[in-house]
Amino acid sequence: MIALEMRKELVAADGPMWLDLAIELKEGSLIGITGPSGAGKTTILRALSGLLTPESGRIRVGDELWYSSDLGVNLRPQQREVGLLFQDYALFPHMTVRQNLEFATRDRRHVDELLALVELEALADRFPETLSNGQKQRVALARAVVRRPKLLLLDEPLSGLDPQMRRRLQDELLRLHRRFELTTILVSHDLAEVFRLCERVVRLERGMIVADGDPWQLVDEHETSHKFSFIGEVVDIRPADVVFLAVVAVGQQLIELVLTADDRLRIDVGQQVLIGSKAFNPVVKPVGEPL
Amino acid sequence: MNSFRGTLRKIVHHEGINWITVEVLGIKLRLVTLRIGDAFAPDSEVALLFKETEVIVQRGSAAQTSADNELPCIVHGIRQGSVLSEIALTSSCGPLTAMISSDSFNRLHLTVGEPVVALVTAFDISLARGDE
Repeated sequence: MIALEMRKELVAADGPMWLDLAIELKEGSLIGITGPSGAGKTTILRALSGLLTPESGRIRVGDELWYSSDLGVNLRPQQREVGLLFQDYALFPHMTVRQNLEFATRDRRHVDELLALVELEALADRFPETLSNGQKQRVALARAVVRRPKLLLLDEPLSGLDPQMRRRLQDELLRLHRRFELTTILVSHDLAEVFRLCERVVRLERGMIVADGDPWQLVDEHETSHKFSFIGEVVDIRPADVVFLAVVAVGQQLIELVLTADDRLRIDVGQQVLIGSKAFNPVVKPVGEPL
Repeated sequence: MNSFRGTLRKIVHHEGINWITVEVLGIKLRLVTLRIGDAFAPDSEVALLFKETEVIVQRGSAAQTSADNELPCIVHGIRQGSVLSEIALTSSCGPLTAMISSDSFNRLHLTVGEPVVALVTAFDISLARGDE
């Protein structure tokens, strides 16, 4: 069991706030932390890795105490067996892929196995600058787990990659996680990624845990039984025949919807609206393929 | 959006799909959903939502259809446009509106005060919490 309790004052855009939480992780589990920017997600990883000291709290990993404000214990980052992976690759540029991994271990067989798991054997003697972003991140992932850390901390590790490469790295991450049974915490704003990878999801808002459960909560968390629902902003409404046509901005897309005269009484330009449809109704087809 | 308030009476689960019965002013309406939250339990107050365009208006004696919900109604008001027509109906469950094409409207010769049947399939009715 890994137990974290911490309190830390943070400065948010609208003033100070407290990151205040207690959480227990089962060893070998893969947990996702989601939440809006500035909620304190990265601060949790920094506290676990020892890069930041909380105001108070306790971190226990198995039977080792890494931090306790009461007992004055605070292991240095090098003493904590933590693997870290961030969005930037942080590889040693003057070392080959293999040397980047061997820097952390002398066990060549283990390095060979890792290179195979992330399918980088063919690139083992290349230098980082000759690799694509996805390849660099695979090296960084292999390096993060090379010492079999007690805790693997991933902070938006795949957010700089295109969807296909992201999917591939997700597979590799799962493979490494299962092979080495690494207790892993993944911070990500990508709900698809969290849903796919994690067995438990914690949602953080303003320094507090507001939800903690299995990933299905991400699917079920709607005001209605709608499975297909978005929040958008109405940008235009114009009358047409006996109805009204509304343009609504959802994410990066504009969509046009029909409002009845009755809907129009309650909906105006500038308003946030919930657009929903039943799971049975939307047409689904691969992008770029004709219907 | 048509909306009725009622009491959830029964949920039958099967492999992530639910067959749900809701009672609205003594009339049982049926709908099908995927997983729903714990807030939707038997005897909870719920709202049923369905679009005006999802209501089929039937005039005259019933042929058998696969519509899961048949509501006897009286035509209460008509707004005829050139392409679309809005038919206001009163039913035992409360008022509802059907959006039909003006082509169908002309074919059916609907008049105010006339009895019709509103048909809605179980796939088209959504469930919302009663407190919203």
